This record gives sequence, C-alpha cells and structure tokens, in this order.
Amino acid sequence: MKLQFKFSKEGSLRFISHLDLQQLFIRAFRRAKLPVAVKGGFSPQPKMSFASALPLGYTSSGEYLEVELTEDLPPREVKERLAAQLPEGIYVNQVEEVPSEKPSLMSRLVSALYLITFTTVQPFDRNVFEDAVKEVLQNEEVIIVRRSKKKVKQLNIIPYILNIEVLPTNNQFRGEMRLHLKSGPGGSVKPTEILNLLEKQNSMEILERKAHREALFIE
Amino acid sequence: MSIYRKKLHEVLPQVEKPARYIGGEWNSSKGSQSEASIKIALAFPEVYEVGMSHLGLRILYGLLNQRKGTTAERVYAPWPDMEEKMRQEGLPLFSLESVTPIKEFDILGFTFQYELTYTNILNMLNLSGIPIKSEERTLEHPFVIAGGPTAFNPEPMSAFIDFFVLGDGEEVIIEVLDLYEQWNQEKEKSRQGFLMKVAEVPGIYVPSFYKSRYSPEGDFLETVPLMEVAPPIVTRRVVQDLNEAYFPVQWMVPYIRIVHDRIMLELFRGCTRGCRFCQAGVLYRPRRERTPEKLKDLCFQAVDHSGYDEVSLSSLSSSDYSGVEHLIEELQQQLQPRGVKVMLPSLRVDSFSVRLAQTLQEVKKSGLTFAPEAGTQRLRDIINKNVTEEDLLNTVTEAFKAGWNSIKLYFMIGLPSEKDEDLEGIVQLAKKVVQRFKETVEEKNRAGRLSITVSTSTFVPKPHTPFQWEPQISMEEVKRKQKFLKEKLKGRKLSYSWHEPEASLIEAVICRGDRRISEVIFKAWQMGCKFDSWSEKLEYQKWMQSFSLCGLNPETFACRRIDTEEALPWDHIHTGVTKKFLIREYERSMEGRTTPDCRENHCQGCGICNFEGLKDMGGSAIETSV
Repeated sequence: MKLQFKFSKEGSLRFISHLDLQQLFIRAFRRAKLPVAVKGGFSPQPKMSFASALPLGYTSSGEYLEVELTEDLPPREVKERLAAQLPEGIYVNQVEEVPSEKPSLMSRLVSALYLITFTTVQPFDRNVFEDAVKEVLQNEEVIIVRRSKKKVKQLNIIPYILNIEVLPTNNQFRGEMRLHLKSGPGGSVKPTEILNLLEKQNSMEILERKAHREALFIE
Repeated sequence: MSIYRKKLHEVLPQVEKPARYIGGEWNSSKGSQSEASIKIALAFPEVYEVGMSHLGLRILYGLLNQRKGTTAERVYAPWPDMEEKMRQEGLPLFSLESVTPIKEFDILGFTFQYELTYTNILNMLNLSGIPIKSEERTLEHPFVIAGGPTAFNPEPMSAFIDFFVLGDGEEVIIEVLDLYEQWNQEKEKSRQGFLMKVAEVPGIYVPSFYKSRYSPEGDFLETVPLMEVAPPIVTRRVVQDLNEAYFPVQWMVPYIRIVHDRIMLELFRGCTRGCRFCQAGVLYRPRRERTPEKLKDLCFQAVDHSGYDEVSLSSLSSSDYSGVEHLIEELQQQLQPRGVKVMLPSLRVDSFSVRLAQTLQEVKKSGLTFAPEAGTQRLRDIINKNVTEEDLLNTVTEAFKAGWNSIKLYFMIGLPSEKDEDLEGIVQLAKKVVQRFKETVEEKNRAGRLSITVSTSTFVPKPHTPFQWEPQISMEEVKRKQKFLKEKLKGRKLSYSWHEPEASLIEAVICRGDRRISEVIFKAWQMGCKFDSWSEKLEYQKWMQSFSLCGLNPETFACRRIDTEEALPWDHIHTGVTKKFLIREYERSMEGRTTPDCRENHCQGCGICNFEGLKDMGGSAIETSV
C-alpha cells in the first residue's frame, strides 16, 4: 500500500539536510517495524520519496512524504507507530492512503508558500521595501547567479514568482514577507535567494534570516 | 530559551555542518533534569563525526546516565569555523544535550585515543574558560580527568589533567562518583581533598601527587610519590566478565553521517596474538569474550532500538572470536530478512577469514584489507606477526576465486632492524599477489580491474610494548623508504599510499615523552596548533619551534634506542603485563624467535592472569591449557 504523510520540521532539526532527513525516516520506519517496500536488487533502496527537498536551515509545517509498505495497515496505526519513533522536531500531521498508480509526489508538485523573517541593522521601512519588490516584479527578466563548486549558473527568477507579499511587523528592525513560488520538476528558486537580491538592490544589511515553508501545493 | 541556546542558534546558520552541534540524537539523554545531580561532561577531542564513532565513550555515557543522581552529557571539538564564531560571539564550549557551559560541570572527562588530539584538549579547555593547567584551577572549575589507551603514558599531559583513570572505566568511574558525592557534602571542601580520596582508588593516578627527577644532563631518572596516599605504582583496572558489563543497547543514532555509521558490537576485549609493536595487544589483556547468547541479545536489542541496518563485529581481531562462524550464522538468520547487514571490520590473513567475509557480503564485493605488516619472513618473525607468504598468497587466491578484485595490503615501515631487502619484500609480495590474480582468474571471468593498494604507516615505538625501547627511524629515512616504495610500486594494478612522516615523529615524541613534554604541547597550542591528526592542519614548524623554545630535542625522545636498564617515564604505570615479559619478548625478537598465542599453546607468562579471578576468557582453547 502507498501512504502519503504530511509532516513538519521544526526547531534544531532545521539544521539537518535533506539526505539526513531521508535517513532519519528510514531508521524511524525500521524502529517502528513498519515494513517499507524496497526496489533494486544490488543495493536495495526503500520505496520512499519526498515532494520536495527542504533547504538546510529552513523550518516547515507542510512537507510531504510518500512511502510504500509491503503490508496493508490502517493509516491511523501507521501514524501512531511512526510518531513514537520520531525525534522532537519532526511531527507527522496526516497519513492517508493514496492509489499506487498515482504519479509521484514530486511530479505533482506545483508551488510552495514561504514565510521569510529577517532583522536589519538600519530601521526597516516597509513601504520602501514593498516598492522595491514591485519594481523587481515589473521586469520580465531578473537574473541571479548560482555558484556551485564546479560551475556558475544564471537563472531568471521571474517565471518562478507567483506572488510576494510584504507583511507588517511590530518591530522597526524586522521585516517579513510571504512568497508564493512555483516549484516542481521544472526547477525552483529559493526565497532566500530572492531576499539576498533585494538586500543587495536596496543596500540593506540583514542580520538574521529565518525561512519557513508554510505549505506545498500538490495537484 | 537559555542565553547560550539563543546564541548557538544565531551562530549555527553560519557554520559548516551545523548538525554537529545540535544534539538531540535518537537515544541521547535529555540532559540535566535536576540541580542536585552530579554533572559529568564526556569529551572526545575530535570533530563530531569522529567522536560519535567511538564505542568507549558511548558505554560510559549510557552507564553514567543510568546511575541515580547523575547526568552525563557530550562535547566534541568544534571545527575551526565554529570555534571562530564561538569566540566572536562569546559562546563558551557547551554540552550538546542541554547547551550548558562545560565550565559548569562537576567533572570533565576526556578520552585519550591518540596523541595528536592533545592540542585539541587544551583548546577545548580554553574555549570552556577552564584554566589549562591543573594547578590554576579552583573550586569553581570542574575536575578534568582522562582515560583511554594513550593515558598509559600520562606524563606528557600531566600538567593539564587532574587525574587519570587507567584501564576499563566501567567500574572505577562509579567509584569516583561515589567519592565525589561524599566529598561534595563536606563543609569545607578543597580540590586537594577530593584528589586525596581518589588517589587511593586502584587505577587512579593523580599526577600532582608525584614528582619526576632528571639528571643534570637532562636524562629522566624517576617519578616518585610526594604523598602517602599516592601509590608508587598505579595498576590498570580490568573488568573481568564482559557478560556482566554494561553495553549501550539504547544505541545512539546521529542525524548526520559519521565515520562508523553503524552499531559496533563488541565481541571481546583483548588480543593475545602478541604482535610486538602493538600497544592495544598489551593494554586490553586478557582476552575476555562475551557469550554468543549475550551477543545475540545485545545485537538484536541495539538493532531494535536504533533502526540501523548495519552491525559491525568490532574487536581487536574479530575473526578470533571462538565460534565466530556460528555466531555470524545465527545473527544473519535473524537480521538478513530484516535487511540488516553484519560486517567484519578487520580480516585475519587466512582463508577462514575470506570464507567469513564471503558469507557476509553475498552481493556487493567491496575491497578486502589484510595486514602482513612486514615484507619478509625474517622481519615478520621479529615483530611476531605469525603470517607466512604462503598464508597470504593462499588467502588472496581464495578471495580472487570468490570474486574480489580489490585488495589492500597494510605494512609498517621503520620496524626494528628493517633493511631495504624488507622493503623489496613488500614490493615482491604485492607483485606476487598480482601474479596470483592472473593465475587464478581467467581473463573472461575478470569482472572489473584488479586493484592492489599497498599502504604503509611508520613504526612508532609505543610504551608498554616489547618495542618500547626501540628508536623510530629519522624523518629523512622515512622519506627515503617511502620514495623507494613509491618508485617500485608503480603500474596499472598497483598503487601506494603512505602516512606523513611529520605526524609520526610528533606522535613518537609525545608517546615516549616525560613531564617536560607538557610545556611543548602547551606552547604548540599557544602558537595555534590543533587538529594535528588532520594532515592539512598539522603545523610541523610550530611544533619544532615549540620544542626548541623548551630546549628539548624531539629526536632524543623519538629516535633514540633506550637501554632496558634505563628508567622509563611510564614505569610507575602498570598494565598488568610485566616488564620482565616485555624484555623477554624484546630479546626473543632480536633473535628472530616467535612467541605463540597463549590460546593455542601454553601460557607465555605475560603476567596478566592470576588464574583465579582474572584470567583469559578466550573460549575453549584456554580451558585445556590453564
């Protein structure tokens, strides 16, 4: 049977990577004695996949995981047994059975909603920042540069942005914005990449930044 | 949220692998629950991934957290990027469990696994705000204690450690805590008062209660007690029955990949093969095996509690476990259906071991490693490595037949009496292995390319071994020998890897050093030395500068042949194996005579067994001979 799990990742566990999270779930399923199906004979891999990798440092309240079990079990029981084996910071909120012929979570992913909070050195002017956001969005092309160990890649972020909303805060050194970004097999842009761009364009100095994924939207 | 946790969370997004510092691993302790309890910080002076891979500290951690009124928390050496941020932000060294500053603990215990971690210990004390030298600590500081294999020459670290715990820690650490509780209730307590109490516990060495004397020429003469409570000879503690000993079945599971990312099932302690260079072979005697029933129980529990899919059977020479074949069979029967693999970390040079490896890795064939240690029979006899060329060639033939085509051969260079013929022997041996492959495996059956790697480390004369009196060869000589091998071990199928000679020299100086080496370590740390076992981080020139500032010549410690009549800086530390036995072994080696394993033959009189309470528990072989 194929099960879909909705879970959140909070607190210190935002500092573990996507690969670490996969291991965490594999071991938790094994501790819970939930029989996960495997594929591949040479070095068998559990049939387990995520809707989207959450970047290191982000918290989330809307992650999805899909797992195939070799045994039919009531989703409620699976949820309870798994929850008992998960560390503080990972919480399973929902478990439901999905038809096994349904395409993978990853291919059905459409967009994601993020909440970004940051503190600034200079007092933060929400109106100025909002204008800066609007200005960016008016363009047809805004290029960011991604540097990895081996290559430098340019990316136009505009097609990925569905909406950016600058939110009011009660602290003059704090800014907050909600971003709705396209996500899925066609690639994605990280909200912190957009924040970095805005920081540079407005010659702001950001001290701390917190990124939280509020939701993933799946077809 | 405490101020320290808040600071930590500010720092974490800015460092590499932040999960090294978050704690909260599955089966880790939650940290201090009450103010009243004794707080002990267990420290491994290396980066998280290395420290978390160590079985000994896991045992003590689990054991101490079981004790009533005790909290044990962990701390590892922060990587330099983290250290920089901590110093910038004023975040002191903290425990992973509760982000409590290490300075607030009652006891801080370091494990001494390797001499090249010593500067990290000084650095960790400094990051904690604890005075580095014992004599400067007051009642507001923790007692800084240490144990582990390199603590068997405690002198180089004697200025920094309040007391050493020698041997198996399971029983003695509890005795120390009992005394701490007593002392803690005293109205007028002093650090000295507690040290006086522990000095009387067998296996405990309080260095400040002893004094070392030197001749006017600077030769070491002796170390003598200054107090009545301090015994002239401190003897190692031994846990006799491992079946009764604590094992951490609530196996801790890290969030990130660590070096040994699996369950380490300790089959037995001790090894009686008697390789004359091997310190562990002396320090963990006698052999003490757990019963197969006990091991199965521990193993299945640890698998259930951790969710790991790998179990490594770890001991000094795991295939020596009596009935190892049967044990593996029974473990696999249960574990294979659950997708859990059993592994053997080291293989003996014999076809039996290849058969074992074969049952363990039915599908995926990774490489096999064998350690002939020396290139000729003459030299193997001298070091008492009872392996012949025929043994090795038969073993690799079995391995090739079974489908392996990647083999690593491990040797030491600079062994006593080594000549270029012995190096040539390494080359010839490697070439014969290649030849064997060609003879054994038909061309059409060769899946993948043959790869033979020769790996050498440099001989370091270790305290408490029959070779403790032998010199280490000079760095120039190490380099020449490595060059010799590099030039001869060329070809598509052969490769050669080696250890940096600088690290081996510093290791040799520290391990045979006396109290004067404390100042060298201190100065090296002051100049910025740390993580010395990471070859890219080792700053050899600073170490040399430190030696010269202290007026000491490193070669006097490392490269000198010591007379067996001379006093040794570790003579007041007794492992249970007698010096007489070590001298006899040393003399036999020079005559090229080997000494058999006492399990296969009669007792060789090393002195460890008293044949009453303490004896070799190596399975059936011993019962007929004792």
